[in-house]
Amino acid sequence: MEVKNRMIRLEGVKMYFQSKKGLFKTIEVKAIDGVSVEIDKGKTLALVGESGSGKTTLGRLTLRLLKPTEGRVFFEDLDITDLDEVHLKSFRRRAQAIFQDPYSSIDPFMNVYQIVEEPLAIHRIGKKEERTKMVKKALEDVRLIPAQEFFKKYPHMLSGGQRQRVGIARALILKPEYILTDEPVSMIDASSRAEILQLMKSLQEKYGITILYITHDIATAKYFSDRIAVMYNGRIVEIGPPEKIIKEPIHPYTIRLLAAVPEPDPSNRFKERGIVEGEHPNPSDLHWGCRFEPRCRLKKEENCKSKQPTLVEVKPKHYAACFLKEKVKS
Amino acid sequence: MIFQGSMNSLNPVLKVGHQIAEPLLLENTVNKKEAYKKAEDLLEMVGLSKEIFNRYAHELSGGMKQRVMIASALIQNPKLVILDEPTSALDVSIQAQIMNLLKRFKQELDISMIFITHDIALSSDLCDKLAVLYAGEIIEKGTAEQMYETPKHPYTQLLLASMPRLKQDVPPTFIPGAPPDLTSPPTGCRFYPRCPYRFDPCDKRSPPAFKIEKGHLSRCWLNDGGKK
Repeated sequence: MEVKNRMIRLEGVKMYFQSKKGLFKTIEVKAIDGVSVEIDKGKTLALVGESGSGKTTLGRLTLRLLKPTEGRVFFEDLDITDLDEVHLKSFRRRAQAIFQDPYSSIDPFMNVYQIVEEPLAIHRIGKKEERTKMVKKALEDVRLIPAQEFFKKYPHMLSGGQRQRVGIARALILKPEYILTDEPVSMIDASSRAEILQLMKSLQEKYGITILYITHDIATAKYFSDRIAVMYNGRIVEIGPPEKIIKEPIHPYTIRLLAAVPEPDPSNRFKERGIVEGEHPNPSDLHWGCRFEPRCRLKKEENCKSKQPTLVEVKPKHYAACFLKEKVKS
Repeated sequence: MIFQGSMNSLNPVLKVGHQIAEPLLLENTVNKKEAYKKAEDLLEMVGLSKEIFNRYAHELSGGMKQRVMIASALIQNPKLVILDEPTSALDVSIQAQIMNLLKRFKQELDISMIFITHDIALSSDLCDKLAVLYAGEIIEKGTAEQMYETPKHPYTQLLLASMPRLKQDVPPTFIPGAPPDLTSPPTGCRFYPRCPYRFDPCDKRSPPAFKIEKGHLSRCWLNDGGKK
């Protein structure tokens, strides 16, 4: 395999948290339970899943904001799993994040110039004049034009979409190679979402940035990613090219999830929507078998209850973790 | 009767069963036993077990809380239920369960509903008629068929085009700009600064509601031609 093209690689990563239950008892929450995945340079991987599936935790692991309980995290060919603070700082120049809520992730008492300039100050880059130029360039990149007019504005004077662009400009100013975007458009008006996503895509093409796009919205993932990974309960259950995942889903969870997504159609009101039966299990009390087994509609076999399925290439470049599908293939 | 969509409308220190029954107890028309019995029945109707009656809000998941909220909205046999973003805090798989439940009640109990949402795709799950609100004005309204299949107002059309589609391969578009500041709305049509089809009268005169066909109204000068 051409390892040179890898930006991010996770190998058998596990992330367990200790959670207090009652006064004396602690329980282990298996937020991520054995994930291996990689993202190629300049590509976007969409990580799709519901609340509690571990997608945000996985994102934080790629930035080494969390240290995995088990497994390794690689950035290019650099093993960042055990990096100390000094080395982490220089790594973090190369990897940035854009968060969900532009209302709370940027400081309301700083103006746009200060917000976008701050990363330069932290990493001690450039003199005053150079910085001004860089901030102007970053704002122009996110199409906040004319940039100078935005310098003195405060976050409350901006719309949601503009605020998120400030967040993008701030992530962009260090010229990162990798950007983690965690639900970047879920707080933005539906009518502006495509605008922000298109902007990120064009910046990705311009600068060759690698993106991890975390979202609960599989429909936007379809249009703005090169691969989609579906997460369920701390594990990736299916991964492949968007058109395959959407049109020929393999894993029973992906199939049910896609059926549950609403489409604007006046005949919807006369029929029941597809659903995933039951609720998300509690990640602290999981049984041995497949995580989706309790909610799965398919006829189950012994393996489903006793063993964890692993990702298998069912069709070219299209992997799924399901015992039943493995059988279909062979 | 108003039904707030928030998951935080439940009192954390009261048993949920009691909260469902509370309106009946306040009314004082039935005794406690009957009220509690009805609350239990409603819990089953919304797809929860009777045991939930003695639980507290923090013991329930988001989807379960929303089911409890629906039960408490139904306890006085309302004719009208107003739902304000009832599923916006829920995951799509749970959202689908709740929508199916509402759909069933709409048919079986013959309840009228006002469903308030920002999600035009979701609204098609429930609504017979749809009204689109922009900057404080209803800019278009009509039956579900008229609105989803032949929308007339540019804003409705663009809003539908901005939804990413799973089944068709049409990349979503966007509406440039942001809604106007309502302290000083634009003169004329409120949507004209963002409208790609604006022409002569749009910035000067506010369009009245033009009738497209029976039941279908649109506030856009492009639709001038039919009767007012």
